[in-house]
Amino acid sequence: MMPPQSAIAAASGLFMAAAALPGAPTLALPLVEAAALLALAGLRFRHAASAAVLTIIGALTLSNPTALLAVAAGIAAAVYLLSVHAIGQPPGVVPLTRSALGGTLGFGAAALLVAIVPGGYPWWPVIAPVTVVILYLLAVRPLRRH
Amino acid sequence: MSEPTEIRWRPSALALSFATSTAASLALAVIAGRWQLISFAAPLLGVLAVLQWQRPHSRVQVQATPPLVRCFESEDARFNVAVEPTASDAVLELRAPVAPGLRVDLRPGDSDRATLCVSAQRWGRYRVPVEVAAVSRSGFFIGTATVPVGELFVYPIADPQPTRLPRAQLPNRIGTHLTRHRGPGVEYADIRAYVPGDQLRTVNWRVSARRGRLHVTDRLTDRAAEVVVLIDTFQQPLGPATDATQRCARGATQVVQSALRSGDRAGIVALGGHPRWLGPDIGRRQFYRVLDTILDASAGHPTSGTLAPRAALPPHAIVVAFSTLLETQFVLALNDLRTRGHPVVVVDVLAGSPFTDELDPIIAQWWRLARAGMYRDMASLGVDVVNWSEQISLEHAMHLLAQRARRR
Repeated sequence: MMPPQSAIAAASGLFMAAAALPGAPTLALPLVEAAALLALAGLRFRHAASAAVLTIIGALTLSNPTALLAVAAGIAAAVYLLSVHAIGQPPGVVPLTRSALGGTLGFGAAALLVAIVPGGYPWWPVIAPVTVVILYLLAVRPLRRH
Repeated sequence: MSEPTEIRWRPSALALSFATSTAASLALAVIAGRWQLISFAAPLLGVLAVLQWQRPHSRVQVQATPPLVRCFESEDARFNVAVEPTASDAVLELRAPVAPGLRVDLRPGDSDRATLCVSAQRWGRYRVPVEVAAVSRSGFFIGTATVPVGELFVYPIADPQPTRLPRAQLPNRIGTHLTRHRGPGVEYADIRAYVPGDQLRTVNWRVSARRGRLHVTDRLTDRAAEVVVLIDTFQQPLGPATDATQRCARGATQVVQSALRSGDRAGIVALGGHPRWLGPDIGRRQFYRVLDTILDASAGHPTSGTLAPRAALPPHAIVVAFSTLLETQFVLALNDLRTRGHPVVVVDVLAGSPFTDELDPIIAQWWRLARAGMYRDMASLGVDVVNWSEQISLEHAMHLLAQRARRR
């Protein structure tokens, strides 16, 4: 019998690969397959889990998925990483919390909303990189040593 | 409970994998111009954004029972350690620390308890730390803290053989050293005519009957000595001299142990970095008090200056000093004791030269000549020097001294 974290991890890992599949051209198919295998290997070896997510990112770069599938793959990746790292932790350590799930779903919904809202402005490519960098720096700020 | 100690928190493997995945995704999105990757990265960013409220602030408290353990070299000391976070946002685990000079073995008990088995090969005072590994409840932060839990006093082990003391005038106290003084005792000395005041039990009835007058048997009395050990704790040059100082404590322990066993009073004076002294006394307790003074722990009175304080040495106390004889202040203190009338013996623990590298033969010869000259000068002042090398035991070195004194 599989422990619940492993079951969630396996399911979300495979879902992440499946979400990347529809938009993937022939060129990206081996990458998606490799990601699925790495996702399963990640249950035993944690480094394989990060590799699986990076491979999916590679596959998504090559393919042209819809916004819904990209967000779904992102949510699955987040749940996958959280549940893989819950395996083998001392009792009392629970990465897959309600607040983490809330953050994932909230940001996913916001991204979906932005992607679905029609219309684009010609100056978006100018501010997008700067916004992305600022967003990332704000997000990793809590991770600095203290 | 110890004072709360800060934990050094750093991101865990989970946090790093989130950060790298997000960074890779966003970077590729900008470089390759794929807006879908930003949608992919958004849920990952969401998890990182929530972390702002999940940063752990816990500190760690450790309790050890007993807080202080005294033991001898290579003996095992046990500490029962319990660890507790100050807040509930972290899960703690005890780990064996890396402590110089100590061998620490951690036997895990319940979740937050463990038994530390500590032993040291060299005497001294040690602070026993324990390492605490912490994981935040969210799993995004890990941390470590090294917390001092207790103190370990490791006493030197000395050879059990008794050491000889130099011949000296002993105070009028009954002990185990045979003297030439007449008085109560066992060894036969002489027969003399009875004088009023002699005890009746000392009357030699056979001689009295033959002579027709009362005669008594005189006996040699056994007296106790007072031994004060002087140790050199001055800063020594690195190399053989520093290694030799650890034999100072070992030799001092042996002399004190053998003196206390034969019923003598023993005390100690440590001169040098942190001068301290303990007056002579008898008994097993005094042995441990002397050891505590050697380790500079609780027992002993602090003093100042470079000379041995007068209160530490009763008149005619025998002084046995352990030193490398490289520090002039210590040699001056010995001369001062000699002028005060104490019989002084110095055990030179530095057998060879104090230099680490091989010396030119001529310089080595000079060094030996200089040392021999210093020995002679000290002997002319009345301070006997015994060379104690590592190969021979202390009682053999001290035996030579007794022979030398007899020949003189």
